[in-house]
Amino acid sequence: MPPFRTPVSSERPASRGSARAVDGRGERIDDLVRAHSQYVAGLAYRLLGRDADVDDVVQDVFVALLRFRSTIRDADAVRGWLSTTTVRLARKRLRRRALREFLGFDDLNGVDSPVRGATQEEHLALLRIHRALAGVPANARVVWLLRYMEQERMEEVARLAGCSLTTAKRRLETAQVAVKKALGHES
Amino acid sequence: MSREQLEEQLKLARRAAPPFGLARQQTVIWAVRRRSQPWRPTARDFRLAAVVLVCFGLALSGGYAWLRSAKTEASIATRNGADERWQLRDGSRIVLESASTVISKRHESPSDVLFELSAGSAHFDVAHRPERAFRIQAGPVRVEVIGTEFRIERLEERARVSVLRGRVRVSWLEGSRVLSAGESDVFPPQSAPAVATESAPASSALAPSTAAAVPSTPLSSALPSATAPTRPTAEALFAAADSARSSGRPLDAVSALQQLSERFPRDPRAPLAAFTRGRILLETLGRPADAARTFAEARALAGARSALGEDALAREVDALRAAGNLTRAAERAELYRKLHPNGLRLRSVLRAGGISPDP
Repeated sequence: MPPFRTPVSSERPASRGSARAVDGRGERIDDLVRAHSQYVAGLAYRLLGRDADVDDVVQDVFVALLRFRSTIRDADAVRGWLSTTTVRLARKRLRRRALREFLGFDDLNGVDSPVRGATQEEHLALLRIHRALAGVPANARVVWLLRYMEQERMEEVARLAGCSLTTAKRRLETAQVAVKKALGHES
Repeated sequence: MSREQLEEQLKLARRAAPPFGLARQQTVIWAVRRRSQPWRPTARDFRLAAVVLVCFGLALSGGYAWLRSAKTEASIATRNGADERWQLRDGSRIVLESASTVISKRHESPSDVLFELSAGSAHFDVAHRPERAFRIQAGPVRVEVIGTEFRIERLEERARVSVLRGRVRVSWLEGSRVLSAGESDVFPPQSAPAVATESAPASSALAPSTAAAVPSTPLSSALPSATAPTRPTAEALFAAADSARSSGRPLDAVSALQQLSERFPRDPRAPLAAFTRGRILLETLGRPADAARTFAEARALAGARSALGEDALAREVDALRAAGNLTRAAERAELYRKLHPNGLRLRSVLRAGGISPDP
């Protein structure tokens, strides 16, 4: 089991007054995090393929939620908003990771220790899939993962990826070609 | 990995999810709260700002020191030495063409560069910078350019100027002429007697190094003693002034030049003497108000529309500005624009006078 990662940002805030921070609807951010963080973390983990970036993505998502909460129409729309934001932030991280890999600062195929809660098999399966997608542009990778990993309908994939249905299909095809190629090499 | 195996892997991977227990959630809550607070500078931020400020200050002072050293460098180059080409920071290039070529930078400012060609010949390729006057003093001849390519050859007391590209203005004590591309001539022309004559080689007060050719005679010995029955000649005063300047006695030089202007107001050297006195007062002695008056005197002696009068007016604007008399500087700049609408230094003069270049 890996040691639990404690980011620098885990320090207690200096001001105790903000502990009662609430969003625009009077709902405390604590409640929102407790209600939705597991979902956001799972989606981010599967999209990114490693646990190391999950905490940062979850933090970014809830900071954005606190900032843009007033633009969300009703409480039921929060989960959809969180999905879209998680996908967008994960895609940004994948792009950044690809750049770091290109510059030699990051190894996309680097082995990440299995996380608590995911079995060894589940973790290795996720790792193999991300290896098959190595080199695929972040946009296409996210579309492929949403379609086949998250099993979303293409319309939902397009909405989450923030593109048209045609573009989503084209990106899916791009990723599919890369996966087939990777499968061919392995077999 | 086959397609079936991939399906199998996907099934497994879909179940993969990290646990996000209370401890981890609390970490996120603290981080979100902290990040949503307004930024307040900490002691660390102040230290960082101080370090940045110190580095910036050091860089600024270093750059200033470098500029100062570049301005004051002796920068004498001869072909006998290591340099055959002289590449200037603004992209201008000087190629020394003979073994005996001696050229030196006498003055450099954003609006004015002055070189002196003391001997030999050199090829000049001057970068186009309209806001700056680029001048070369070759004995009694002065060449002014904006951006062009030309060659100057010293011929004892005269100089041959050949223009390859663009236009230059060649001035001497009693006149000036514009040379265009392909033209070449020797200056001063034979009909106009060169100022420098037999025993007084220091004809160019604009070019201080010319004075180096003059025997370094103290002013007291160059001027006749109080008991001497004869008064000093204009030539002797000029030579004494050059000698005093070259030996680092600017006050003596000013005194000699003033005597020359007062005693020989009709002498052809009188305007140049007044102009040189103005330069010494402005550049060496730091007395811009006196310099402005002296430049006005030089302008009156030389004639407002002559080449020297134009230069004197331009320098008068500089001096008035340096003295803080901005109103007067603006008036003089307007006068320059009126008298010399196509003057080489029009832009820099208007800038110094605080006037927009557009009428």
